[in-house]
Amino acid sequence: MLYQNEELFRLMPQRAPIVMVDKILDAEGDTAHTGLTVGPDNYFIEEDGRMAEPGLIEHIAQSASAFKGHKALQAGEPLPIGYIGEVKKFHCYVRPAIDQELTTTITLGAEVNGVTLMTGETRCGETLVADTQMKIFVE
Amino acid sequence: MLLKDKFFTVLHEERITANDAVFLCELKADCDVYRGHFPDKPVSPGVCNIEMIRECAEMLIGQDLLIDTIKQCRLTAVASPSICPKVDVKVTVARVEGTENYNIVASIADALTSYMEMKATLKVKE
Repeated sequence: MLYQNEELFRLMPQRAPIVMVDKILDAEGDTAHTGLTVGPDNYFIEEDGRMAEPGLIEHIAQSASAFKGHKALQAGEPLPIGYIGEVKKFHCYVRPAIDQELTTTITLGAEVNGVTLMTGETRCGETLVADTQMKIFVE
Repeated sequence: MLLKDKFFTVLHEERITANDAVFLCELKADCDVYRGHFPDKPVSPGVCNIEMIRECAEMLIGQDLLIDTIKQCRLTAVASPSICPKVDVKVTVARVEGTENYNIVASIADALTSYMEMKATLKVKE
């Protein structure tokens, strides 16, 4: 475990009520594993107790944002603020339920003119929850 | 609905056909999401705009919908209640033959700027 809960605030600008990643498990090279425990007060929980799909996109985006923040911290560079530029080939297989533990693999690709290509894959245990490609641009 | 009357309100709804509508939406500056996105710098989360499109599609079709696949969603400009207090959410739906799914094409724009363009497949919630 590299960071959890408020420790992540060193790496990313998002705060309550829209914090959608709560741990970085490990990070090496261009790959990191992150996590989120789906709390009952999660911003994207719907009436049926399941997380709406855009919450998964935000979880993956914030995971990438925190990972890039970690890399910047290690390099002694200022904290980047990233925005989602494009979501491509997002697929939601199942909406997570309250108390479930999500684990996400982030793979950063090439960075061109401040735009980073990345992929994210979210699982709950062995079950695939969502996967996507994304372009993140950094201010 | 998760964000209707919280993140946005619908001011006007124009049905062009049964499969095609424009929702004039107000982005609510008092939405609690701006406490955290970001402190002292309110920016509408792109994913909330995606959710707004889903909820407008639900209003158009009259059924609860889940996002199955987003083929492509381009976020072309930063949106916020001060930058764009009112936006047009345009949604076109087409039934995927032989399924309960809908392909949708949607956009969020005001008179000057396009903020989002999305192509997605939504499925009817069982």
